[in-house]
Amino acid sequence: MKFNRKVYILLILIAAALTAPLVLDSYSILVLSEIFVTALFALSLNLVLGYGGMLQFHQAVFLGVSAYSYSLFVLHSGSFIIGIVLGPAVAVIFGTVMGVFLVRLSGIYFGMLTIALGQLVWAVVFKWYSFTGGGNGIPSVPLPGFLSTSTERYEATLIIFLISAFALYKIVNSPFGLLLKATGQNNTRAESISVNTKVVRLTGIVLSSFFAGISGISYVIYSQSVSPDILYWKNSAEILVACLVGGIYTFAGPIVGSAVIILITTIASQYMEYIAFVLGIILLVSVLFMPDGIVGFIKKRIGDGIAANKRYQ
Amino acid sequence: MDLSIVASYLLIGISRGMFYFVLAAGLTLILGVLKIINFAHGSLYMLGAFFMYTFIGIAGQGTGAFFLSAVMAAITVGFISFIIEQMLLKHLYGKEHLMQMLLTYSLVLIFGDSVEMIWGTDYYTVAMPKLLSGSYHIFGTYISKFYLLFLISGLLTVVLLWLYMYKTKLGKIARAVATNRSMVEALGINADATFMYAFVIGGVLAGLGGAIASPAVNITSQMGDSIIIKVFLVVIVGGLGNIWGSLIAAIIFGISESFGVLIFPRFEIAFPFAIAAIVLILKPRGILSK
Repeated sequence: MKFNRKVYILLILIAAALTAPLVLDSYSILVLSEIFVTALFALSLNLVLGYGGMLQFHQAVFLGVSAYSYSLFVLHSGSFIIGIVLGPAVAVIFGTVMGVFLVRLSGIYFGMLTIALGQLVWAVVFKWYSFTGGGNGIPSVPLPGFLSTSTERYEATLIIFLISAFALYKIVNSPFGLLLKATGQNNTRAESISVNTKVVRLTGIVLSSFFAGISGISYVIYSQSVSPDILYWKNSAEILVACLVGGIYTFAGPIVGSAVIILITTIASQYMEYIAFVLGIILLVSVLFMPDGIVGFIKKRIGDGIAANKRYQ
Repeated sequence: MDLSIVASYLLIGISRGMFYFVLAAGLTLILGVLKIINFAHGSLYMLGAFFMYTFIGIAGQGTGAFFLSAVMAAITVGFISFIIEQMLLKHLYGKEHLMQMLLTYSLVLIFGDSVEMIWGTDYYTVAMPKLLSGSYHIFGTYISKFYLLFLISGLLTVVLLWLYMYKTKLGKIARAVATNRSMVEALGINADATFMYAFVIGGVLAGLGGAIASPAVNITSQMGDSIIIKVFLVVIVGGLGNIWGSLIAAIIFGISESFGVLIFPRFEIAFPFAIAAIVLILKPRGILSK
């Protein structure tokens, strides 16, 4: 019965989200779009971070190259469909190439290499003025005709988020998802029962880069512009914060974390300019008092089937 | 290319490398002993520069005042590190390293805005002291005297760290903790105290780095963001926790940067990342690894 109740709540939430533009003003709709873009991005990171146990410190690269590929292709050729396919495809290429080198490392070495490779991509995008627009980025990116109003763009980010989140949910609960969790929790033990951990981890990175690439397309739909800032390491760090605040050992954690972070920063920005300070305090409190995140904390409190302190079990 | 130009660029590169080493040494010490990346290292560097600005405002413009302020700034930042370690980081020992790293990242966010609250959003500059302004005539070209400051600070860091690591009992324990923590604790030694020393020494070095860089940079709340990544890369290339590897890597970075400007100016900022990526791919455990 519990399962059914969950599904009902979920369906009501989805219906509410789909009909939100009827009741909310355009600013709130924009904030909601940002939440869906960020939530998908955070989910893509958590596939490797929370489930795969890999310290991916520079996930923003995949979002960035996807958003840039779409924008540059559409600007030069005008074909939207190919641009939309090209974005995630380029992200997957980057994910595969980086992943081949990354899976040979673990722990902090893994994390350091993600920063090195990611900042290399950022530096090239930032400096290659003639191709990428350099520090200015691309101030206005054309979108297909069916995405001309803010409501249409909102619905697009929502639908992309729903489909991708469903796919990711299926992936983490598939046999492959279990293998990924196994390598994340105890790589040596997984290896000893003859799991090819490198292949599993590489597949995880590639899948994660694919979904980050999709969130890149979603980002362009939301912001209609790209700049090198989306590839900077601070953007990656902020998404890490969203994952942690929500809870990295639960599926819903990154979604809740993104929503909480964006709502708080949006509200706080109306009263003060020190947003980073507020974010820092939130992170500090979560790390010290709620290391399992909001979702993990609630699950522990209500004693849900998946007790957060037992980590997946 | 003229040989004298090559020589002068080499000297500038080595000096810059020594400056990177001052920052990298602290980071790699913390990495080796605590096994975490201290993201706040760049913020401590920034705080060092801001304290330098304030102390120079009190102490005046003389050369003596400059060095006194630099020492004071480093000590102040060291004290802040002590508070961070005792009040926050200490509670996370034994938890996942990711949590400790994210704690230091939260400090990046908090310090960045706190500095703007205290000092405002303007950028500041510190005047070059008399002793260090002007330039030397070496190898037929002119080299700013200021690079001497980097060179001396770097050498001083090398000597002091060597004394700490190899000539004191604390250093011996720190090296032992870096290799096998549980063995050290089994011998009845409190490893947490070693963590405190490593973190505070790291903080002092970051503050010193900010103080000596202050005449050469604009002092802003963002000044730590880009340098911290570069210093991370130095630490990776040198091998995590390997101080002498970091020294070599820092000098490689300094030289490649000064020649990068000469040969391939447009992608100069991409150079260090490319070096780090190549080293990590070929020798994942750093240049000094077997």
